Amino acid sequence: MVAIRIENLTKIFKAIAGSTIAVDDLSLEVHEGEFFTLVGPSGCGKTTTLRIVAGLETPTHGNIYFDGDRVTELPPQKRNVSMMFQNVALFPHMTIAQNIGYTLRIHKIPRTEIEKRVKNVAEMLGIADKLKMKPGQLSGGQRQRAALGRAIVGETGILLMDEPLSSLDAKLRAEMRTEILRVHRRINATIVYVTHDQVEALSMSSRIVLMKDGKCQQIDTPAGLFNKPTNVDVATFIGTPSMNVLSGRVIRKDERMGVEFLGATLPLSDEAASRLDDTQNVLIGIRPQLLRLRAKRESAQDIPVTIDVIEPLGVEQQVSVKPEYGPEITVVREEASDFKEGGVGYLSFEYKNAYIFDDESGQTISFTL
Amino acid sequence: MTRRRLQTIVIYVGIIFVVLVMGFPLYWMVKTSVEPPTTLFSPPYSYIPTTFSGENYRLLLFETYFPTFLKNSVIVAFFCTLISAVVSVLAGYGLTRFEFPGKKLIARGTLFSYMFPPLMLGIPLYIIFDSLGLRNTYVGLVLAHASIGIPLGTWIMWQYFQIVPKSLEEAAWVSGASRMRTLREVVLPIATPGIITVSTFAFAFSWNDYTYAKIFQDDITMFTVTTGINSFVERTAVHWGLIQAGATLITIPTLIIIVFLQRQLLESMAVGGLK
Repeated sequence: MVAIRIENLTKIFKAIAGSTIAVDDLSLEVHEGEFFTLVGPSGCGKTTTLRIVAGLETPTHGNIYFDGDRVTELPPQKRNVSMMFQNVALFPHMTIAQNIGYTLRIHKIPRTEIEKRVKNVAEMLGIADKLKMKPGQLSGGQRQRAALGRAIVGETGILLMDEPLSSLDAKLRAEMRTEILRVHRRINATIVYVTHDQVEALSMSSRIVLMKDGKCQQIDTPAGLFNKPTNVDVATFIGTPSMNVLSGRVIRKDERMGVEFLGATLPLSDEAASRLDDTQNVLIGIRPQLLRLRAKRESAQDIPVTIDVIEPLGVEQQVSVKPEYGPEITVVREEASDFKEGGVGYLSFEYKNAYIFDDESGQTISFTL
Repeated sequence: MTRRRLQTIVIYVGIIFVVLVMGFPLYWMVKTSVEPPTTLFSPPYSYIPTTFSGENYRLLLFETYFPTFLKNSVIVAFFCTLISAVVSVLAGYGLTRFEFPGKKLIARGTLFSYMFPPLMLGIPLYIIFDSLGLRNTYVGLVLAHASIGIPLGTWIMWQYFQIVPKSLEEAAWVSGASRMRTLREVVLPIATPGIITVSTFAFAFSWNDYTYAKIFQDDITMFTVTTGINSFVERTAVHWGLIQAGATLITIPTLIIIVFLQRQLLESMAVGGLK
């Protein structure tokens, strides 16, 4: 197990048309044995960061340390890491056994030892009967297992994974997610995992860094990212469907502060009020699961809406509603369908379940109203 | 329905016509070579050989320099193919995988240089080879042939390496393989169809070349099969029997290559956008 430290990492890709900053002054630490995930929208620099850790790209500035040793200039061959690639990248002309054992052969491990270790890994991953086949003869899931096998057979201290599951269908992806977690528990490796899928990130990781435009937005545990997002970007990226973000305005009425949005005025808690100025513009974030949609108005603060689209999701249903003022709002509700598209409903929520973000910087101001 | 049938008929008529036009000279070549030399100029001429004789081949192989021509051609074609393949693979790999200014220009330029007619390069090359003492040598002719084989080969390999995913190489590097080892064990096996195509083109060009062989080699012991056969056209006599027998023999290697490698050739031509 190896700890990784990334220090002031910057990567600029120069091109004739102009340069792009892929990674912008990123610093973070991955603890040994951790399952650490880099997540973010495409183009956020997460894959570039991983490739720099692997040694496949050289950073423009900054350093990489493995267990305190600087490895910034080391080529990939000398870093003693293993990697799983987005497109599997099994060697098409070699058998599965040769693919898995390739790294052992390069490191001049005796043949009998190679055979034994390849067999062990293949059995662990349930592909022992496929060892004599070529990658082209395997299904997508089996190829994925073989690629995982090739990555773990060398018993390197660091295992890098670049969106390894993105080419699989939903069912296989869930299966492989479990497989990777199972493998992580059995081997002694620090895993750095890259994905754009926040569900994958939340369900697998010990800790997550959320990146956007090459910058670190937040490093936290899955629960921390979900419950305490540092800004509106993190809040909307994490969670499905995305958090509803509505613009509002702080007002003062009879020494009490409140926030006005969607045509209603809601009082602010003392804690939230202490961090806000009068007449400040803010963004209000509410998760779709924490909104209530009822057929009857039960309180003066309920917001009347028109039901736009109803999408059944099995147990739950996702409803898009349109208030009189403001943008479309998504609600996820467990109740059986008693609404019709085009009908009328009333929206309410508990104040403690809403976030307040700064209108300009997007930074979180308060975790409740 | 009838329209489609008409279309088929038109296509077949076209194919038959082309096959006749292209095939008849070949047929005539083989026919003349297996007939006794005496029947050549004694009418009536029939389209089907009536008497067979190995006399032309006996004369060709035992009474002329043809075995020497054949040896020269094999040596030159072999080394031209080898050099073209090795240089094209390395150059094509470099053009695909390394970043340097003017890369695209160089890659396209290689194809452009291939388009020069051999005759145009022949004269400057003659002057260079003459001053270097490379006329009437294998080295000179091999280099001249490779100057055609390498640009085309480099361009084909440049196209071919672009379809070999870079992540395959990266997977090998992370596994600990050096760049050369990765090229040998991962890239080349995948690029085999491309290498076969490059080799075939280089071989075919060298084997069939007349221009360079004519310009650089004036010693009859250094003639290749093409210029050698031309030497059977003498001031006082044209030895048709020898010419046709020689031509038949030198067609055989090309024929074998086409039959056995057709699939790979078409495959890599599709990759290179040549088809």
